[in-house]
Amino acid sequence: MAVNVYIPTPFRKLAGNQAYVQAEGQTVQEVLEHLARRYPGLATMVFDQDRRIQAHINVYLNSQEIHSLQGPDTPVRDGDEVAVIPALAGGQVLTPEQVMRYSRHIIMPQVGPVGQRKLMAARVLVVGAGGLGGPAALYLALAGVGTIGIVDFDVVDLSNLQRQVLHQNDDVGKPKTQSAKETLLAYNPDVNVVLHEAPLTSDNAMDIIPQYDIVINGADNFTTRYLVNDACYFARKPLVDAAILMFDAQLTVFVPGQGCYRCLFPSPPPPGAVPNCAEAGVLGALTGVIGSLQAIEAMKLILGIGEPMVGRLLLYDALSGEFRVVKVRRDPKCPLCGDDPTITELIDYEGFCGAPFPGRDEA
Amino acid sequence: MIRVVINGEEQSLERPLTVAEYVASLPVNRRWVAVARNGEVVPRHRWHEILIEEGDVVEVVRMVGGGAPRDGTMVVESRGPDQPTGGERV
Repeated sequence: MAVNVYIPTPFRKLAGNQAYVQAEGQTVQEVLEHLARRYPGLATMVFDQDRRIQAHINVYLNSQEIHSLQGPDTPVRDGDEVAVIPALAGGQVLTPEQVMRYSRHIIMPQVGPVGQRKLMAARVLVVGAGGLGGPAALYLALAGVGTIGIVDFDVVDLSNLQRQVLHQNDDVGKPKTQSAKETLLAYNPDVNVVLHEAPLTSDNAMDIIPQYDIVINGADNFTTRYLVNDACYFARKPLVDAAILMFDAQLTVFVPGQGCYRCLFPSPPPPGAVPNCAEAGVLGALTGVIGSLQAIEAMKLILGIGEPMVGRLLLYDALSGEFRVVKVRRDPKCPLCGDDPTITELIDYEGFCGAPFPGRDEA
Repeated sequence: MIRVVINGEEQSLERPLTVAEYVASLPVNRRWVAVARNGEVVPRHRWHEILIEEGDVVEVVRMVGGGAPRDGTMVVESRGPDQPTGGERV
């Protein structure tokens, strides 16, 4: 039987930095022994000298603690999920307040207490604390996603308030990162908000992005959009990508090796050729729809549930009220993720897109 | 004449066209759109061989950067013949 084993963040370095590892066996014990043979570092963490699961390690099969089943001898089936969760300083179990706060998630079998702990252990980077990044970060914070990184360099402008839910009237003139952090912590003090108060550039992208499990793209310009795409590919991080203009929106999930933004659009338009929201406008509530969908996709990736929008591009036309989905495949001729890539490291995105990173001058 | 559905609307084309021919007939720069035929994005290098035929469902996906420049610079006046016009659902 082949099962997926969830490896929590503290153990991930011992398992090739993977969140999920495939292992085989007839029972939970056999699956863990198979895992231990492949990752000897993990073996000493999970087993004692007599090959018994250590007392401080909780093992879950499909969100049920194995001692409520048949212990280590619980049989597994193909496609089952085993989670190996260590007791951490700071509490092995959810606090009563956390159980209450997240109860509407925990009650769903697709989340459960194990899923909630996955959310609390997850690290998500939100690029841009604006129209899309705002609702995305907000719902992640409400769900208790443990670490939310925010990259932005901008200050809150009155014209942002028509759609950017993280910022309020009194925040005008404040750095967006600071305003975002205050709002998120006011909603849920249980999360850790990490601020990167600078424009994302080729100089810092590979320092920031590898610190996270998933990246949500709320970029407002092509220069940053290509940078985030390429950096996520090189850092092997899933990218929940979306863009909106006027009444139209696009959303997809790029998993490295399964297609990228350049497979769709190999090169950017010259500056000014495609209008942006300041020029053409955007329906405020549309950012709420799409940013929320980005939060949903990130949570599906964290929880390992459902079918993430990988290889599928969602097109939403708010005026016709129609959602359409088209399939996107990796283009073998893609300059980044194709068979003969010409882009093998971050490039000069300002030259490539003919436009500077917004905010770079001030940085 | 063939009947096709383009971005959700029924339209007629004179004859079956390759994706490349169809895109060339649009008032958009070919580099800034992606085209899906019958639910699947057609890789750019196959635009010359894939035909749009009777009954096909086509999506022309326009490139969108999103958001707004921080200073709100207006550059709308640079909109030229390469641009989708307001009435087009491209």
